[in-house]
Amino acid sequence: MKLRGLDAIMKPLFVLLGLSVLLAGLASLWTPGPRGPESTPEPSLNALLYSDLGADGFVEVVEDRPSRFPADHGAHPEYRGELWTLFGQLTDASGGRYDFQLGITRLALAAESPPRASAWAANAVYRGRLTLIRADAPGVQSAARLTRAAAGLAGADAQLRSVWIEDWSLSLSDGEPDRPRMRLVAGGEGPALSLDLVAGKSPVAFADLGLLGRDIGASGLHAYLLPRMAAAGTLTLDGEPRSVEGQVWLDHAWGMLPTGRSRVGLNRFAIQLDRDRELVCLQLRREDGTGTPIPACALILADGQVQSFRRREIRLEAVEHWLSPRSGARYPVAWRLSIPILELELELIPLARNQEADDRVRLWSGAVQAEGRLGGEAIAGHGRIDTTAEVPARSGI
Amino acid sequence: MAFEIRYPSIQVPLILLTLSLLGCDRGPTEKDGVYKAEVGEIPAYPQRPGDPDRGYDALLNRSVVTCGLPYNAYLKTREAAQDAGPQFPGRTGRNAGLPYMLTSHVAASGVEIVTSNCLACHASTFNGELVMGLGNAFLDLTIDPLIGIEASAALVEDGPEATQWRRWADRIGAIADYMMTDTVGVNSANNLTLALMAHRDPETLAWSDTPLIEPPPQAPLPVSVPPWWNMGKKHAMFYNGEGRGDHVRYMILASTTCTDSVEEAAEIDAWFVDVRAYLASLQPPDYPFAIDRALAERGGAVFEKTCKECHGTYGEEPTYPNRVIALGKVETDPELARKGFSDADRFLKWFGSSFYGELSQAAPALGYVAPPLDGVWATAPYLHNGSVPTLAALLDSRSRPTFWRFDREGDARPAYDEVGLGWTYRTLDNGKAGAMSWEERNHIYDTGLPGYGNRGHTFGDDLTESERLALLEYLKTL
Repeated sequence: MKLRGLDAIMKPLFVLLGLSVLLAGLASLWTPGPRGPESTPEPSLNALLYSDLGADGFVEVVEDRPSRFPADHGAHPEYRGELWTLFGQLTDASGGRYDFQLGITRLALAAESPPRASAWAANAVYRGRLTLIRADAPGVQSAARLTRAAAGLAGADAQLRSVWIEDWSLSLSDGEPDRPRMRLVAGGEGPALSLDLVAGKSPVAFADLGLLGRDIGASGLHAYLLPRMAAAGTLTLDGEPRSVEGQVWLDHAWGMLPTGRSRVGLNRFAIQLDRDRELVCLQLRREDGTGTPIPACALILADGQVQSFRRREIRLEAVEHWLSPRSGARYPVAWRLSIPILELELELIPLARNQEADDRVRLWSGAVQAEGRLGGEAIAGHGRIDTTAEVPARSGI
Repeated sequence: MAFEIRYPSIQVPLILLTLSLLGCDRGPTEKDGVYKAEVGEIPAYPQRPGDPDRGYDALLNRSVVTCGLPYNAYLKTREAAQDAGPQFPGRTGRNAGLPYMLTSHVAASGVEIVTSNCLACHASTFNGELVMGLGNAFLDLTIDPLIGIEASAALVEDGPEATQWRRWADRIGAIADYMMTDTVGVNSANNLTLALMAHRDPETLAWSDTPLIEPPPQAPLPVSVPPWWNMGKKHAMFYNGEGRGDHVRYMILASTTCTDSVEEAAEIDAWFVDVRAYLASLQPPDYPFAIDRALAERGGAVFEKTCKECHGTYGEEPTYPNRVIALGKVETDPELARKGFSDADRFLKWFGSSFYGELSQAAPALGYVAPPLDGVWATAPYLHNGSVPTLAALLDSRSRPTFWRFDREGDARPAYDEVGLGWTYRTLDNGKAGAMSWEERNHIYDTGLPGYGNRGHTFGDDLTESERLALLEYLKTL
């Protein structure tokens, strides 16, 4: 009789449910939207990103596997979708502060490229989005790219360990496998960035954060984060380059990237705090705001160790909502977070209200600053919150 | 070194005599609608007759919990795609394809739902065999049930399915914090039952989202699930013997998650008399490994001398005294008995004025029932709180581990220890306070925590090593 693994089945109903459904929410948080003020070059491509193509022929993430570095820093074309998201705070020599966010998504259209004559034949769509908030000026500046992987316009290379979309790219330069160095370039007319990144901490597998159960690693998506990379380089605004430095956070995930809406909402918090600590939280909730929201948090310590916290140890409440004039969606944008056993209390305040990233999947993805106390001492930080919209109760649910 | 105060030996029998005289012929006493019982013998109560065969079928195929996950949504879970695991014979229709702890039920709305049944807690495997009635010592109630439940909303279709899902999700949402334990394996069903009572009008059984009486504490006291096959011998249910009178109503009380009216409760009650009749007919499994008969026979003599006064006799003409042993005598962790005796009046009153109490008289005593020992070798860990991992440790309190965990990898079952009689375990240097992760913390049994103590029941301490070995051998024959 095979007893090992039996208990995986022998569970009562309420813990039996797979967490695979969480994926939908989680991935949508990482799916950067293109619908900024810039017109998209090919609306049909945009539509493709939202279509349900099925998983035929793609490798599916069925269980947790250990990360393999440096290989995992590269692309994973055998999986349907992949995304790289970077965000961080940069300062220039005169103390000017800039919070940026850059996301690149790869979505394969077919598992194998069918033979085609045209050099424009492509089996993947790439999309990029850059936003920037200046501390000394109101509003959010943004730029976007959307392209098929054809004629070298966009691509992701497992060997060279780079991903590029037109004049934007992220590539692995060198460094130790668990302390990689990368180069981020985002050219163009809008805000432009050129940064050298050096990881200050080892990559942390998302599954090792212990958020909402270990099973989440087996939920259709592999992901890791490099929560603190020292950044130095140039930021060009209105044609004017300036030297900047700061701290950057990278998320890299691959697997299935469903884009459908569900009645499950998910909020994600990623904060770089002083004293070399980073905080990651997820909050699972009903879209209509009823029921009990379920937060989970992980604190990454200076030495890379992770402390996990669960629902009953966390207080997390939205203290301000913002109504998007564009989509009509209502988002929680300011939060109060406390973890009493850590003696941690944080106010998370958005740098701008209007940081709706995608009015189609209704996602708000914004830079925030954090202020509060940890263990009796003041602590501050900055980071990013992603939230799905709150939807009034539909009939029947 | 702690000082132990001992009464002069001549006074002990006197005190015991006085206590037993006080306990003589006194049934539970009532005050303000609340009954309390003395320690000592529990009288027999008539049980309503039922058909054990019909009861077995109902236990496996009918649903006592009437809310759950819509079946269509269940099909979309990864678990539904997996092998359903071991199965009891007699599961019919849809149930034959569901894991044994789930039951299909068609709700009044016509939506088919998947519900939890009794067997997640009351069945388990031993030596690779699924055993009906064996308490599940590995059930993980440290997991937050709300994660899976809330996430499953994504799988549910709008309309009647969503309504069914919401009813279930809201209900579990209200009681989740009363059922979550901090140690894998211990059970919280009693605390969960109290939480459900707090949310219901006792007379109409109507649900209230806000509690109507003060709910129980959110940290459940740990309880080890007793085996069902003792039901036929026991006059009263529960460790403190409070479940006096009709047993069926207590049994269905634990499953009132979604029983929102007296009519519904009466409907379940009508078929559950058969289930009770089946449970009362249930026999323990036979010890599946070798037994040294000669040694066991010598152990039988030790049992006669040391154990039978409280636990009865076994064999051709078994006897069972049905006695609550005073805390002062058994000296095991007192929390559960004390809380049940002194801190539960509102629940005793609720019970007495409800449908569930019509045929019964919930009357806690300040002690613990010495249980029948049939199949006791299968029911590790021991004591009411599951604090002692093996029978060998139970019979020698000096060898009980203060901090321990089952010796197993992940979800795998630990090996059965044929010498100590229990699941193999590892003694640890630190309790939960020294654990680095949730995972580690939840798997540590820490006898230093309130309600988790492993003291008392020291009746085997004075046995010689060879007497103890013989006694253990004898216990394999029960």
